[in-house]
Amino acid sequence: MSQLSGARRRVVPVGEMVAAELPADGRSLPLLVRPAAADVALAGWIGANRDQARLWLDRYGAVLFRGFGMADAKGLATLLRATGAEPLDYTERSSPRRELGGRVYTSTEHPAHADILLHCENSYQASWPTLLMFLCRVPAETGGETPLADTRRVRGRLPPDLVDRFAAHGVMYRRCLDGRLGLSWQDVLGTADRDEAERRCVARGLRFSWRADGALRTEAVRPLVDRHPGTGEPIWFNHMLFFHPSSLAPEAQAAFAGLASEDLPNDTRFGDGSAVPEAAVAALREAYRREEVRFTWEAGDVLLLDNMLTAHGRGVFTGRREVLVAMG
Amino acid sequence: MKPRRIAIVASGSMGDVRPYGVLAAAFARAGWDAGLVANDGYAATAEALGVPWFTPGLPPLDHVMAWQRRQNAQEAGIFDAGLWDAWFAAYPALVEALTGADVVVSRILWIGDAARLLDIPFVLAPNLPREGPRTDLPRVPVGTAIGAMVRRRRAMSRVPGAVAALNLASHAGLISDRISLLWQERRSFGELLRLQKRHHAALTALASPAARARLKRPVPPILEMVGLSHHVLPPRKHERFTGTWRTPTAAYTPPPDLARLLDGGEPPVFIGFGSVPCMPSGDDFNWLSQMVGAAVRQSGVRAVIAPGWGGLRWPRETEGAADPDKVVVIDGVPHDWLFPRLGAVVHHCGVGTAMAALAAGTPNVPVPFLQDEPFWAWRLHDLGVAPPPIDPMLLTAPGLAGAMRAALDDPAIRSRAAALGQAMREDDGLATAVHLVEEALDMWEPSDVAA
Repeated sequence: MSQLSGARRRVVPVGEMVAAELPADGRSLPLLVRPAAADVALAGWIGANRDQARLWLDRYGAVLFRGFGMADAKGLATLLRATGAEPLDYTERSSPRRELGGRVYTSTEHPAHADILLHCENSYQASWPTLLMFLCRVPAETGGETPLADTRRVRGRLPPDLVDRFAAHGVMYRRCLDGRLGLSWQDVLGTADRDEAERRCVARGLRFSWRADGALRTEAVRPLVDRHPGTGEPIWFNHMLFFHPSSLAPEAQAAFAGLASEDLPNDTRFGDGSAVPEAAVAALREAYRREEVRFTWEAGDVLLLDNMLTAHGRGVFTGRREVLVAMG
Repeated sequence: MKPRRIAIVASGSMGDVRPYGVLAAAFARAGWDAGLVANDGYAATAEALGVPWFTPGLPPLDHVMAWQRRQNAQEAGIFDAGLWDAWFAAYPALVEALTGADVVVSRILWIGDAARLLDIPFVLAPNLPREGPRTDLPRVPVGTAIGAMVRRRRAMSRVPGAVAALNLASHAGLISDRISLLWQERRSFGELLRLQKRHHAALTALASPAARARLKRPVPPILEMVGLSHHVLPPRKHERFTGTWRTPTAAYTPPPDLARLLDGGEPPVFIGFGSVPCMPSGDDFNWLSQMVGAAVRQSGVRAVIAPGWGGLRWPRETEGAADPDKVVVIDGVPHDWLFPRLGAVVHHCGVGTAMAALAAGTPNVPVPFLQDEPFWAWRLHDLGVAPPPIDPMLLTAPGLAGAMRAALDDPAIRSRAAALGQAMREDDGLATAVHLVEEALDMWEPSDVAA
């Protein structure tokens, strides 16, 4: 883990409007961009410099725009459109969040005392956003970072035979949506109608079965997304670790001990249904840990991520924290 | 010479009140005219413990239970006027009950003000550690809730300044632990100040002019002692641990069904969540009872199920009628008597139950809900006398079954629990407490003389 502040960064002027500061030594992200002139409208700058933004994303995976005085939710949707992306709905959800309108969401309503592991948004689904844009309206009193990790570098730390096994079989995601241990199927699928829920499962490529008590079990085997579609580089892009039972809070792990895989709120396996050995899970956790980069949010910060090149998470925090997200 | 009179004041659940009854009985044995002032409803408890006198000088138990319910269900309304009206309305009776005492003991700091009104020295005597994080025990700060139960508590992050200030105030010893634990739940500085004002107004109304002048002068307690054992927790610098306040094993005659269960076969497992009145979601214990029933069946343990305030029960609807050779449902068996006869104790980790289980030398299965319970749950695990705590909102039958078997069958847990129980039984917390109070009182000079 490393910190953004404190490290020496090289400043590179980019045209007359903004200046970029390269990531600290040994790190690939994030690129820090500040205005070089007064009153630079960020949406206008991004709209006129899409290619530059894309180049930055390909290289650094994450760009932090600081000092542009961004504040409102609507502006975030506009900003995302300026990159050329259209804000998406948050579907097949796994985290509680509120929509503030215009497909801008609170980043998560997950309790403050628990952190959220590094993950790539919706990488367990059949489709996913390519860009994420965060806006920090109110930074937390302490903590509350959005830790980042370069998925190319995470991949580089993994044992090749582990990657090969996932490449051969894909990643299996099991969920049991019982509304008690985990979310309810109504919340996850956005409908209270069983027939409609089944249709939505089919549309998303989920095998499903109803448990006697009305819980919905779903299972999907997703092929390993091995390369970034733009740069062609090897990446590690899935929710294998995030949804693995070993990532739960210890009190939840104790509660679930002995539960069958099909009854866990979430479980991940090799695509052939076999369990991932503990040592492999530990190697993966260690790879993320070693690659984690943290920066301290400032009010008005905008963070643009390539969702496939950069994993994100959330640190524990105290105080009020308002970080919004739009996905495109 | 007339014996010195001590009034010990306690309010809350059995675990909040009983240790203070035990303490009162110890003072009586040491020759004091000792009594317990507590919620109406604890008279029988006091009598059974051998406390010479009991005065219901605090709101009745049903008010406490209503408060506890709201607390556990994480509902708004901790500051509802009705709950506090009863508290302040009890002040005349409280002051009368304290009148004539030579010393007043309580873990409630407000009781110290009532003692000052009467010019009686006050001993602050919590049976909990101070709230807040500890660098030497980093796992869970006292007063922190765990996992799923925080789902309903997002509102807490809305008033961060108040929480931080309260934690600081609590660290500095400006407010009592219990009050600040309450504050963890629903916080608002305005409400705290209003309550503090009402407290002062209610006391001032009862005071003579001289007493009013005394009330204005803050006076620290003549002694602060904590009813905890250093075998369980290293004290912080300013904390004085006496050892827990336990009664010598009382004579108790079990009902026939319990006696039969205890006499035959593998020692049973106690399952009870004490004064926890409901799930953190506000739901009743129906689902929890079903999980417990299934876990008892799956693990093959023999069980003593204690309904407690939440009404835990045998789930006849899912498990059929209980086999009396395997399951007995019973409340009110003294922990000191019951726990040493058991194989394991599944509990919510209220401090009273946790200390009773530790002193009994019985392995634990922690299922903590809130307040200081998660802290004790992890403490039990870190002491090696329990498997990891189980989040009650996520409790499953296989998870609980496995944890009960681990507590029963793991030789490391059993031997550690037995050794710790032995060490704790060698503490004489009561004698130490009596000695400390007598010593502090002998050194104390009345404020009028000192002034």
